Amino acid sequence: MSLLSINAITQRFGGITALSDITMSVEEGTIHGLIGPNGAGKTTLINILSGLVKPSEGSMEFNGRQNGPWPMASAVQYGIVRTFQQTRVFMGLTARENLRIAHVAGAGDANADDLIEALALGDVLDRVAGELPYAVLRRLSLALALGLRPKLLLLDEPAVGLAPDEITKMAEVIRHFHGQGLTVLLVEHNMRFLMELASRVSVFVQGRLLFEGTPAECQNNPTVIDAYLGRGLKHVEH
Amino acid sequence: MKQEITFRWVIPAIVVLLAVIGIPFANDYLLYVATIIVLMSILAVSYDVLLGLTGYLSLAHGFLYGVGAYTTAYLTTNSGWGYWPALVASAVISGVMGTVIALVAFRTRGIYFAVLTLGIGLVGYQLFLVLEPITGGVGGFIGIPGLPSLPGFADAPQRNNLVIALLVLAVAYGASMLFLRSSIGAACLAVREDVVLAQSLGIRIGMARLCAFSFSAVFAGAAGSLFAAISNFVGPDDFSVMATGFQTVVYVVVGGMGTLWGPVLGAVLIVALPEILRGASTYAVFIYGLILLFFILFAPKGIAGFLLAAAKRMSRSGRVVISKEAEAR
Amino acid sequence: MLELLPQQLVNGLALGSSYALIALGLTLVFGVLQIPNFPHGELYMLGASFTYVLVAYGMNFWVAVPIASLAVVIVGILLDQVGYRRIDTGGNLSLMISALAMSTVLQQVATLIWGAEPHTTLSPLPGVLRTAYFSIGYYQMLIFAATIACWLFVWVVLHRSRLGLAIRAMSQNKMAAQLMGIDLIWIRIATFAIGALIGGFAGSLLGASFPIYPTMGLNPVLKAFVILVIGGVGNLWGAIVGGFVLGILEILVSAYISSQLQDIGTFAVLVIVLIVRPNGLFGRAEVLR
Repeated sequence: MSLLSINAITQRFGGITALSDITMSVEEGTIHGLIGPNGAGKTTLINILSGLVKPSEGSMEFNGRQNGPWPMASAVQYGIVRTFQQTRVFMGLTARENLRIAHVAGAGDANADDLIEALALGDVLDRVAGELPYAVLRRLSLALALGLRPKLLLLDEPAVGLAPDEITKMAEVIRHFHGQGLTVLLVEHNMRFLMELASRVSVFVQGRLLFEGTPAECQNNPTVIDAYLGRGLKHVEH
Repeated sequence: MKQEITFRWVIPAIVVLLAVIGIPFANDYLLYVATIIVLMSILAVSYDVLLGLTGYLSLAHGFLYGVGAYTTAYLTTNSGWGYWPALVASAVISGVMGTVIALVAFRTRGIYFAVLTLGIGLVGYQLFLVLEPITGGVGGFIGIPGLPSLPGFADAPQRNNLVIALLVLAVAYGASMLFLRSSIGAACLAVREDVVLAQSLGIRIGMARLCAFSFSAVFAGAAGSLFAAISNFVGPDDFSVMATGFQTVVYVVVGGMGTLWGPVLGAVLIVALPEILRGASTYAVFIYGLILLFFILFAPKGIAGFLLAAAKRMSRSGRVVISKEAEAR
Repeated sequence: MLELLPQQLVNGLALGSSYALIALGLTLVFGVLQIPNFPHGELYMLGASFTYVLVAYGMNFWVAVPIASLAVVIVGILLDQVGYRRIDTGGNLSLMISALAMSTVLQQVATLIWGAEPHTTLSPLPGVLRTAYFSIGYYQMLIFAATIACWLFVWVVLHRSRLGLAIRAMSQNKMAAQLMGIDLIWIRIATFAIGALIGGFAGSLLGASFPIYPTMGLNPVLKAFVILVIGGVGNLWGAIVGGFVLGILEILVSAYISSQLQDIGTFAVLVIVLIVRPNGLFGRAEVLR
């Protein structure tokens, strides 16, 4: 059953068409990858799905009941939560306060112990976020989003800028919560990371949906290789 | 972080201790100064809920303070109300005014918010002058009845004033603490730190900052009400933008934004300073300006920042000593 | 009533040109550096006060104007170096509080030196032009001309000089401008110098038609912020047009409704504009048109 269906979404900014007639769906309980070169419209789609931006045309449906475009507050209520490509946490507050805000002020539940453990935040709880290293901030921002107990998590490049061992940890975390029933829409440039996690992959090029299939199909599809993967794919193989 | 929580209780404890020790012995002048300090602390604490927690700089609070003062003046002098109902009415009317102002002002951000509230503050000041039948115009109100006596304080009006002001401060401080720890308080912090992230976490930012503004307006009104009854006189000059409204910003910034106990220290220091430098009252505003400039440039975390850093250093050096002892063993 | 309308419009233009002159410097600094230079009103006040003092010592008014204006330039540069530069990355709130603090300090310094009472000077250019419909003082015409001249001056500096190109580059994108080798510190100094020059010049001229006192800058600078909201931040032409519109509006309100409501009317306009367009009438307009 598809958790999210996107129906003929188009997004124009002035004269530029960032997304053109996108129709796709995300199945419940999957990790769905979204790849494409810069400017392909991946982040724009995340912005639309999370309610930050209203699309120029098109509609979407969540969980068979909610119809969009929806505003940001409703998206969170439905259970659609996003992270940001650039690390966004409340920099002036401690990690504990960050988590507390997500729980107390937002829609999340009070018990964050599993998140603290899964994301290895126990040692830094009382430190101000602005002083924490980048990799920890990445995990903290993921914890904020997970604290809302989403049904669908929109991850915008969670592995960007991380060292290899941190990337492995990140993948473990995503898999851990996926195992608890979380559906994930994952935008990522790191092919190895994405291909290992995702069970389905959509390829965007210049605002259009070029291809959709399993990671294996994707890696072997000549149009995809031509348009985008090319050299990147060889990196993955070696 | 832990030090911060300690200070939240230590500072009020010191205030209570000073009051218990000092009130029976202080002369009328000291009592009066202390009362003004407490009044300004009420303003500072509640204003910190807006400025410190949400990061919005409002310059309309001098006007809201005035609304409270004029409401009490009018009700007790012209309509024969008792003080306590007038206090409640002042807080409510100021709160409603504040809410209306906030609904307009929060359509804007940053500098526009400051400019808009400044404009509202100026219009309000003009209104105090223009609405002569209600406010008494330039002349203001004279002969406002004083505060009612608490049991046991009937023959010591200055002591009585100070005790009542302290009680209102206790309410303001307690309510501010509750606000900070409530879900709305958490939402306010989120708004201050990162509005987009707050929204993406489903936090209702409009509601949060509106509550903070209304909250501060209610206590600004209550402080104004006390001021009217204590000074027996209100005139427009106390409520111009550059008077009490500006001073409140100074108390909060100097004390340490967002800590709630810091602004109390700020008010104590800033009000006491010109009194200590007797005869320097012509320089008072000049000194306020310089102090504000100094703190925002060199110590944006205020006095609270100094104290917290010092406390942290002490506890750290304490821990070092302990671990060295452990090593020695 | 209506036969007085041409006269009211002329009065409005005269008042409006004073507002426009003050708004011009404010919008430049705000547009380029994103600094809400609240003490611009005090630069205006200092321009008037310096001129007053020089004239009182027997100097010719027309000699005193440039000297006073240049003295204000130094104060303007100092404001930036002392109060803004070191907290430029600290966010809007710090800049606003710093601006507010410096504004108060300058007002108080002026009070300590010259006292709080208003001073007036004789108009250096007396005489009135009378026509069938209205009359206007020669000095008011001069201020009107000075307003247009200042606008032209700023426009030429911004669009016909290397310095102007650098300033415009900086207002668009600080980082890119730096990468292109533009020295930010000198651009800041130049921008503040031009802003202060116009502010001081405005005060120096207008001090001859308005009373001079330490808080004389407060109301005009607020009007100037209203004009920025109406005309668009960093929009020079918007500052001029907005100034005239506001001046005419105020005179009409005061003539046909109530003189007590003159200022209230202005801020009512501000409130309405901000309710309809929270980021100003033109949003963040194309900077420095």
